[in-house]
Amino acid sequence: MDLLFYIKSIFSYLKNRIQNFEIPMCTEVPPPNNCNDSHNNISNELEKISKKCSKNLNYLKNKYRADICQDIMIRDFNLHSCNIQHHAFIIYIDGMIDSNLVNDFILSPLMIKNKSNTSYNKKELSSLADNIYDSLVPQNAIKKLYDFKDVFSSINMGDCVLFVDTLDVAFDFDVKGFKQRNIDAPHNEIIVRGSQEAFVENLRTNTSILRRLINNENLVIQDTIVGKFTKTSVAIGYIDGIANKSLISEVLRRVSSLDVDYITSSGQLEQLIQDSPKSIFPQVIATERPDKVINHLLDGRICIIVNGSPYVLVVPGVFVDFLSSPEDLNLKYQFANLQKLIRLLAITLALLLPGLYIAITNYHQELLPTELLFTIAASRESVPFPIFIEIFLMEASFELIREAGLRVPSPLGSTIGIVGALILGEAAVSASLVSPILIIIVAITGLCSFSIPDFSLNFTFRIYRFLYIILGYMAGFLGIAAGLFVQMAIMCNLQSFGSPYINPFASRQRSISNFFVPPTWKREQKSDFLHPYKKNSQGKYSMLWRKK
Amino acid sequence: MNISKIETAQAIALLSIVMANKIILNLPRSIISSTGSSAWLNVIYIVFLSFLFVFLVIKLLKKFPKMDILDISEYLGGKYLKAAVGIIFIVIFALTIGTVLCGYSETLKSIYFNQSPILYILLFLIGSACIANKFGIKAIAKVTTIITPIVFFSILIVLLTPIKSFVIQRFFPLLGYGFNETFLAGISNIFALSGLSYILLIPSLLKESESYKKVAIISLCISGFYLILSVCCTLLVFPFVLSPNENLSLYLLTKVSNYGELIHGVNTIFILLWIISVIAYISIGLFFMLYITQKISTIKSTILLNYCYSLILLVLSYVWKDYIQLNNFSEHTLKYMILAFVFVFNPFILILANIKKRFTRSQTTIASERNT
Repeated sequence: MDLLFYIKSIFSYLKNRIQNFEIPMCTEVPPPNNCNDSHNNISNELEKISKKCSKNLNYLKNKYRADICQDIMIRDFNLHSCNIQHHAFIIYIDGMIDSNLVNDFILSPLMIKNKSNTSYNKKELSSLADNIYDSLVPQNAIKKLYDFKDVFSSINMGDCVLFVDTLDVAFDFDVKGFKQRNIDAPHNEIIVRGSQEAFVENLRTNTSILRRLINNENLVIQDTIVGKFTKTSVAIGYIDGIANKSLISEVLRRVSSLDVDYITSSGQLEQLIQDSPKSIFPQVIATERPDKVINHLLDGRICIIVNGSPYVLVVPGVFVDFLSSPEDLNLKYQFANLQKLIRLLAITLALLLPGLYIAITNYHQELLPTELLFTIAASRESVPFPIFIEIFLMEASFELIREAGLRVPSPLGSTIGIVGALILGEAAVSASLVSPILIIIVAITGLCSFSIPDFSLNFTFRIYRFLYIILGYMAGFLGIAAGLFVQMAIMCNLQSFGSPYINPFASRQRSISNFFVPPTWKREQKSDFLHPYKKNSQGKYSMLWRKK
Repeated sequence: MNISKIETAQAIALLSIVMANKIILNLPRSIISSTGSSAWLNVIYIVFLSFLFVFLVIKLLKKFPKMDILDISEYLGGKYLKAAVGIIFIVIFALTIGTVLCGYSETLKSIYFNQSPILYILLFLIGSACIANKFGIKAIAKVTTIITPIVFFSILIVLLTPIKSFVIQRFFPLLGYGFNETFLAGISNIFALSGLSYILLIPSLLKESESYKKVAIISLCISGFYLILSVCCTLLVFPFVLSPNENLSLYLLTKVSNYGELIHGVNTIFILLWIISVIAYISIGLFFMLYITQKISTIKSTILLNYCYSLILLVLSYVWKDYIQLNNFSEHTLKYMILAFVFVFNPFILILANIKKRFTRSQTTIASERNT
């Protein structure tokens, strides 16, 4: 047969073997978990833990498809208690637990005969569960479970669960030992003066960072579950006595009333809980910096930590927050305010510069000195495209370079820069596709857009920039003025968790949420738009040593 | 439509920007052409009269807290009077905005858009106001609060920069075209502060109703100050006998100003700011038209009405053959309509409502005395 096929493949035409696979349409919705066990016929979902160990075992094997899932580990053994043997088993997921902990502090005390499990006492005999809980297992984190829902949750989170025959209760041991990323320096919110640690994917590590840095018993971290399928742990943190109770309730209400199958990152949660999901303006602060979160918590805001995401959300987020850098509060107020002014200029240019350029060159030439006007006209002499196409081409190319720079593997990152600088810069000018002045305009715009501290706001302004290019081309300053008015109206209409989006602009008080950072010794008040219970964050005289 | 209460500062900004747009437009030149060198005296006189009007309104509204002229009309003459007053307000607002828009777009066309039809300019102005109105008065008020200081600052720069060109002798003769033109016929120039009509509608929109007095007086102070300053500066720079074709008085001033060798064409930047200010004015006017309609009818959603009114404004600002026709209508018809309605008819309603209130109260007191 093979020989025939070989000959045919050499001397005759063979049809390509096409894989004709198509995903068939589902006519019926299968049950979430197939429990048809051929051996034991456990067709019904168990809610409560059965007293029969074998029944529990079969149910779990079926649920976890233990026959095909090699990482589900089940260990049958005989447990000694009060000198009586009981059939028992433990179940855990390989790779998620610390094997030494399981061997030394669960299996050894239960299996090996010793003084504690061989001593006979009538009282102890009557309550095996209590005996295991109180005497047999030397574990600090042990919980009794009665429902399979909790059992699944514990196993999935990396715990080890013990089932014992004759007991309708299971024991959950926290023996997590999976590998996780160590606390590292922030990658995307880099500052010079300030903490150099960032959040990681593990929720408990993140909460521990907050606990450690705030160092106050009033920090409340409330856990909840989001996602019917993934049951993702979400922690909501706030400082009791500072954060407004209504705000806390609203955050809890929004987070706990989500009907979604899964949440895999804080970015997804952010989109589900913000006030105006259709708006392109960011309304929730997402940060990887614990110091930023702490500053906001102490101001009366609320943080939301999602397990598996190194970005912590802080609500409410107002416009000024997205223009601020975490470094602002660490620097002298003069330096910080200078930086903020530069950032404001950068943001204005990033938003309006291409639009203004197009408007000025097309409609308002009198704004330019005559020499500059001649230079622009001369540089555009050989360019065949209208200025709108020219600027649109360059902006689109710049966006492509930026996007490619983000997606390519880091060793190739420099290549993108070379391609961008050489091909799109030098070559485009040499080929008279664009004018050199336009390259300068696009470069300044790009440079300015990198000064926007928030990643999401950067996106927002990129979209608006294209709109202003169109408006500037259509009607010069008239179009830009109309666009600015509408944009401002949109921003003024926005709210984030009950806080007006542009509120702190009108605020006269000395808080960290103002656009201009007050001196450290004058940050007396907390942000009034948050209506915190504790109004002041420092006394009238913060530097008491100066007071005579 | 999102109708929420506005704060004191926002209300002041709203009223000030409405009145400031008259200053940006041809009003100072129009006052100067009707009164001559005594325009500065005339404008002080009309500001004084406006203060009297505002104090009268405050006094008359004192017994009707949180009620605007429409509520008071309803109290006085029932639903029909309320509807009638409301409709007149809508007509006046529509005509005023229409004329302002037409004048402004004509000016923009002559400066920057020679090739474009006027409809093109109008679409931008009205379109953005229409979109802004979808977000309600709160958003409009906030935007206005942000832009008002910038607009007023720009006006101040424009007014004070040509200080070197000021010729004090242009204030003389003191009585200009005569006593009659300055103080009797000149009363009609109170039209410059016709934005005061919004003062009658704002009480029901205020978050703190007790700050109404503050809102009315401060906004009149700001607009009065700027009106006097703009008339004085225009008079000091240009001889009153000249009547240039430019519609924007302030734009004329920017042309004679010198901002140094490095800064070119600053007037374009001012135009950018004033376009935003005009859009704010149209948005506010459009909002009040929708607000009145909602008050006098049972309409709950004004989304469609917003488009309809925007279309009406577009038609009203596009219908004029030329600027002369518009100016004639504005100077000879609309001016007197507004004067009669705002400064005569509305105070008359307020006075009658106060008499009715006093009469009703005295009757109630007599009845209660009889019962006891």
